[in-house]
Amino acid sequence: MRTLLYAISILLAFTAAVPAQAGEQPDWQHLSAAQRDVLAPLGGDWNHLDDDRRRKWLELAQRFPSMTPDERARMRARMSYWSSLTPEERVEARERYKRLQAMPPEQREALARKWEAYESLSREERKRFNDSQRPVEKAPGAAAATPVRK
Amino acid sequence: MNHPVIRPEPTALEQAAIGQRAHAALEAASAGLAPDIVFRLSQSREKALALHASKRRAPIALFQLVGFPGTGQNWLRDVITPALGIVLLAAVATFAGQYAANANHSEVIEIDSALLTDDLPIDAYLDRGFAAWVAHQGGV
Repeated sequence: MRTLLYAISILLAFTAAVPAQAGEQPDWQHLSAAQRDVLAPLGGDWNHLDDDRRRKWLELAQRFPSMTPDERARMRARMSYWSSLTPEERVEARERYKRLQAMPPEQREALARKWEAYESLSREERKRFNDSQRPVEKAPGAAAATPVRK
Repeated sequence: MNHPVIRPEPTALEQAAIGQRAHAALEAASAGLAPDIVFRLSQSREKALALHASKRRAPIALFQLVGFPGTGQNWLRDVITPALGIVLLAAVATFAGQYAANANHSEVIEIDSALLTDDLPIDAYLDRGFAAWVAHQGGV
């Protein structure tokens, strides 16, 4: 019995150490001025986002002050595009990011140049490589149109 | 006029002596009893002993039911210990699930942050052909 009580106490201590799941997230008008400034590109859609996505954006916004000016500019420029992607597209992008992160650092650094080279390929060549990969499965009801490229 | 003789109450020692004498007399007399009488006496004795035993067990059983100390059993402990075990297992499962969800959430935030600020545009990670082309170039 005493062992059980010890076990429960330890468990409760661990549980308290794990951050609780966030509940309802604030509407746009209830964000602070600083949050609204960072998340301005999402202002029009914010109140339509679910709590989970609001929570993620708020956590991303917390990192904003510690970013370099270049990173801040990129984040601002990409926010609405990233938000417009389907959940499946975001998952796929994250998976590809993880795979590319596994590359050796020198090759990883060369990716930006490789992207420029890839973009200079003809439409047919790009289609050939594109068709060689398994297509992304769209969720039922997901937007059929490809988002504006960023 | 005869007055009844009031005898003093026998002491415990005297009661035991009377019992022993009665027992000896009954034992001696029983040798000559008919078999059917011996059988009926035996049955009556068993019934009396069974009744006596059940009367003695009743309060003990009641104490055991409520977990009275010294009765050798404690139903409260027997019920609560497994119940606490189940609660503990459920709590561990909940904790593990919550921990995994939080770990996954942190990883997603980390990757999203990188994707939003990376040198490589988001489209590079969305373009299936680019990954294949990089692999074709020997990059992956």
